[in-house]
Amino acid sequence: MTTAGTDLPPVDRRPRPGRRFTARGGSTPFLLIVPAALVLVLVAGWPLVKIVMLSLQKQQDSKYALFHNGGTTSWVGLHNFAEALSGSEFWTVLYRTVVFTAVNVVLSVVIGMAIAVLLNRVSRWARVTLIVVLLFVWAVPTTVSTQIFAWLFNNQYGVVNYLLGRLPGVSMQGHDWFANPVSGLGVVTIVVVWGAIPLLAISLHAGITQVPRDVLEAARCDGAGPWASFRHVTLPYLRPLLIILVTLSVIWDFGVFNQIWFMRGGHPEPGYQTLGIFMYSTGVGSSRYNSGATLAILMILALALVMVVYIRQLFRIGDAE
Amino acid sequence: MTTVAPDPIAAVPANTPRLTTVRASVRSPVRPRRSAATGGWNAVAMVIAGVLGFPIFWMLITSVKTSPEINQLVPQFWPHHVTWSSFGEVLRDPIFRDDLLNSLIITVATVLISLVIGFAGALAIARFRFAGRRVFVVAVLVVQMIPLTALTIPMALLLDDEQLKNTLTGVIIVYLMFTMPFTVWTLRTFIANIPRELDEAALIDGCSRWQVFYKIILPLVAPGLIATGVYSWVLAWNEFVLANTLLLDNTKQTLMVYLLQFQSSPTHGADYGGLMAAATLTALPVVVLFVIFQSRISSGLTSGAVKG
Repeated sequence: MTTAGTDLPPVDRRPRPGRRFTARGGSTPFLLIVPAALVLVLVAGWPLVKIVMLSLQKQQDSKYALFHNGGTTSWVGLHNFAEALSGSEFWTVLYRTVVFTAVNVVLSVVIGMAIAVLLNRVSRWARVTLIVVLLFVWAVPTTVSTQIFAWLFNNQYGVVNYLLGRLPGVSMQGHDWFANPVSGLGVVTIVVVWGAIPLLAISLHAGITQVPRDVLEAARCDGAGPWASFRHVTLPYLRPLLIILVTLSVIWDFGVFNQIWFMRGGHPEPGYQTLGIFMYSTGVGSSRYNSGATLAILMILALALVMVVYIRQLFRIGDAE
Repeated sequence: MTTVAPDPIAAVPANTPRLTTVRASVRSPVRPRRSAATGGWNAVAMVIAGVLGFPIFWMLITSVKTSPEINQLVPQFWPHHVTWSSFGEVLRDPIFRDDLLNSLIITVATVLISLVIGFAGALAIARFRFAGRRVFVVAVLVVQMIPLTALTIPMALLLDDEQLKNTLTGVIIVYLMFTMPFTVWTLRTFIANIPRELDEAALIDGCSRWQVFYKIILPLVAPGLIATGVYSWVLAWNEFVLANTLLLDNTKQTLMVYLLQFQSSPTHGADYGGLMAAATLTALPVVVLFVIFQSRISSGLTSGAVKG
């Protein structure tokens, strides 16, 4: 084993059964990871360092001077963070983002699970048909799906208003779903959940098929009904998979960007701003790089806990070993 | 040599969206009373398939309707006059053609580079134990989880420093940030599922490490390479935020940015036929690839994919 950088953890030199040939790689593994490690440092590490620096600085002169190395920059410590956290806008946006994420994750996982269970009950032709539809839905880019739903919910000629108007006593002609941000974000939720269902339903369905039949049989013999078997047999078996799917969903839904951005034609009103949109509008839209970078760091910190759960779960099920 | 089929799914518990697994469960004699209720559940499944599929159907039929048919208070659920004029309008747009080419260049380059680099990294973590391995694995996983939007500001500034802003090269480099960790992680699963005994047997028989690689690992991982490549293609093709931030001229943008500008331009603002045609053309390259290769793709997903 070659000597590597001093910051690396000590090598586990115990011989592992069955790994004798693969363990002695000499310098090979290091040569193999050099390009990947370089990419990680250049396109992830460097921007991360840069964003931390930006968040601790304040640009004095013109906001455009940051490009072309102009203007004076001074270190202001945690001033940007204090400023962001003391404003009420940040907390409103954070609250909206958390509620939006919670609603989206719960709806996606519950509907995904229901479809997964359903897939297990139907005939083969019905299952194959539904899975093919799910695959098509899965493959549609979020940008495209958002525009489809914007058209479906169009106030003048949208088919949703037409169909709802057919219900007795309902008049939806010209109803604008986006006038009120809460109902507008409701439509965005439909887009997000629609796009999230396929991955959840298909993985959970595959998980359900791997629950041992004899255990389910035993539960039935002991008098468990369908709900009790699901709750006490299937669900515990699905737990590791569910943890991964839920953490991934939280990370994705917290960071939802395209669906909101496209739904509002690239100009989301204040009521539509989630943390990602707020950060982008501040940092890129208004070129306030320091404030934007601060918000980006707060966003990453908010997700850090979820990331830890996800990565620990991957190590626990042995996938990362 | 290829008689041993790698099963990339085994490492990911409970994650086998393959139709073969599905088939096996149908014939199990567990529920004798099921047949009576099955008809009802089938009907429910078809209603769900209809509701979920409706938006895609609506995009397709809107794109072939005439303008008066689109703008009607009572929508037509089947077009009376099929017209391809919306597609013609989009395909004749020189900006669409530029942006299509840009999307293709960026996607192909990103996929190829990340496959080569990612395969090397995956090989290292799947087959070797070395100092810093765990650090590398955690770094790959963490980078995958960082929301792209959070890094747009430093990336724009850094590319500007390097004179790479508003260039396809810059975007390709930046896209490696999310495609490369994904390829490392997914290919790792595929390689880890090739039994080590095969490597060892070959080494005992006198193969060099290099021979083990291209005679055993490479042929067995080939399906995994295709699957990973296809999904990286989807990730890069669908990316919007970075492209929107880093590419400024409309002749240098990608199809995702084109879609947004199509929608918000005054000439096309209410042109839903054109918009749906553009959306169809944008989605086509990923939908086709994805549906063809899905059985191989799904395994890698819950083991740490990031959906754009």
